[in-house]
Amino acid sequence: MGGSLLNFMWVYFKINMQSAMEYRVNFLLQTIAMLFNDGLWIVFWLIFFNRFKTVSSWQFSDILVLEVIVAVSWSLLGIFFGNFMELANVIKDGKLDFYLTLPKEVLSHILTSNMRYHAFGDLLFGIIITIFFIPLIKWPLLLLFILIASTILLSIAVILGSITLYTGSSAELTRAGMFGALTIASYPFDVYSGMVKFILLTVIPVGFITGVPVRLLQSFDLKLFLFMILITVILAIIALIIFKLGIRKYESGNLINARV
Amino acid sequence: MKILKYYEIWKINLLNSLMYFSDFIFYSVFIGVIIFIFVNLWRNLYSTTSVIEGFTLVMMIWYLVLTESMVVNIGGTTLIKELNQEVKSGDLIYVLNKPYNYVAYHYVKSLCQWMLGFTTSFIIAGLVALFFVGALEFSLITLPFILVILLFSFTIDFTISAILGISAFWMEDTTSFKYVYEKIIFILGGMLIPLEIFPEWLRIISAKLPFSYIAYHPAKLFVMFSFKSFLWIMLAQLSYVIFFGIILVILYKLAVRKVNLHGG
Repeated sequence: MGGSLLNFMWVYFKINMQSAMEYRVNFLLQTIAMLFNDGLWIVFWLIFFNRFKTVSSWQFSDILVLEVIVAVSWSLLGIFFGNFMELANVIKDGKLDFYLTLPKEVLSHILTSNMRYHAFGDLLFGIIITIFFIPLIKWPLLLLFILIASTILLSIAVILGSITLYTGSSAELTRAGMFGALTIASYPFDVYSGMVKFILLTVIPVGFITGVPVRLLQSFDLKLFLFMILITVILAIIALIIFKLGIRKYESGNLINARV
Repeated sequence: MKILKYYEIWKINLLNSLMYFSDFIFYSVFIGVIIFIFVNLWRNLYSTTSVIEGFTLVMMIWYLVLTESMVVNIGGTTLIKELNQEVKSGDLIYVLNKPYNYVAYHYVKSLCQWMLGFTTSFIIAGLVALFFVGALEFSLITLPFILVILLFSFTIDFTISAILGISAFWMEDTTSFKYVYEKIIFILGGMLIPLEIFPEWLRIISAKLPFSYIAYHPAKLFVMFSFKSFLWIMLAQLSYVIFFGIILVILYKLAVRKVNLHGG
């Protein structure tokens, strides 16, 4: 099952790459622009930490880890699950019928059938920062945290997108929710305390995207690490259940689409 | 008479935008989340001092309420993409043959969306700020002056965004410009932090660039109003509007010459 899915993702990846290469200049331009865009965030934090030195226990080096996790996890979704932000639109626009009639598993098929080309800029940015600024010893754990962050972001996207199956539309909710999660993950997590911190580590677990990983890279805590894995698995299961139950409620609008 | 038809365009767009008012609410809630993050971040930084570079915590958060509400709703976020799409898809031709000026049409359309988006965002972000840090000392007499400055801010952004959008006539895809332009306003424009936080040399340069007249100068005027600053900011904004306006008109005229009509 897992092997088949990986194989399927690989086939779609190759097809999407061929499409991208049809517009090479555009692909290159988008990659460079995104690389520059991400670089400007580093400029911002450089200015910020030049003035303030630390935010709670966070230093500039922690921000570099944060930026790598955000950029690479987001880019992995864009490259391999390029429709992750479009689930609500796919359902709303009646394009779900196309996927339902094919033998492949519906959710993974929807998610993998698109690619966000500018994601390569994010990936390149993450790789450059990792190579030049993050110690080699932290790389294995960093890679694991990136995969966990990707899973959390993908699960949130699936949950928000699947709401369309129940309410008719959640495209704007998906956008606001995903960018909200990403924005919270893009600032030092130590600024939160009390009830807010509790919520961000349980009900809306965006604290595990960058906050906990940075803390674990500062000093490893096995209990916290296992808790993070547990929350990630629970969130992924919830996302799958919400989508599967929603699909049972789905009624086709019989819209005829040409998929080019 | 001419003005009247643009007023009608504005009205139609307003009615259209109101149909999708929930979109504005979602964006505004997103800005509310950002302000909440900033409240937490800046509270942390103000824990050992009451004033940073002339800003109290209340002033800092209200400064950010204005910059966020302003920048998230300006043309840089939508207009570049929209013009790019119109040029690429050929939909441009449906707008070009109408009895109005293409650039003026988009100005009125964007203005309408911005007015609605800015007002909604400012109210929601303002409520978050009010709840967590309290009210800003603000005199209502200064409101008309602030509104004039905000209108000029919008216009500077419109001219720059339209120039970037229209360049789709020569470029394959201009959406990547959108991200870079946005980030330049975020940072050099002072949307994320006031320019006073910058190193001196960067502050001097950034304060003179057009991007700071979209976010930093209007927001600083809002939290620290002085009539002298108002005049200087307006004068600089007017200069930038004229400068970018001329470039836009020239570029538009060159672009229209490149339009080829195909039957079908």
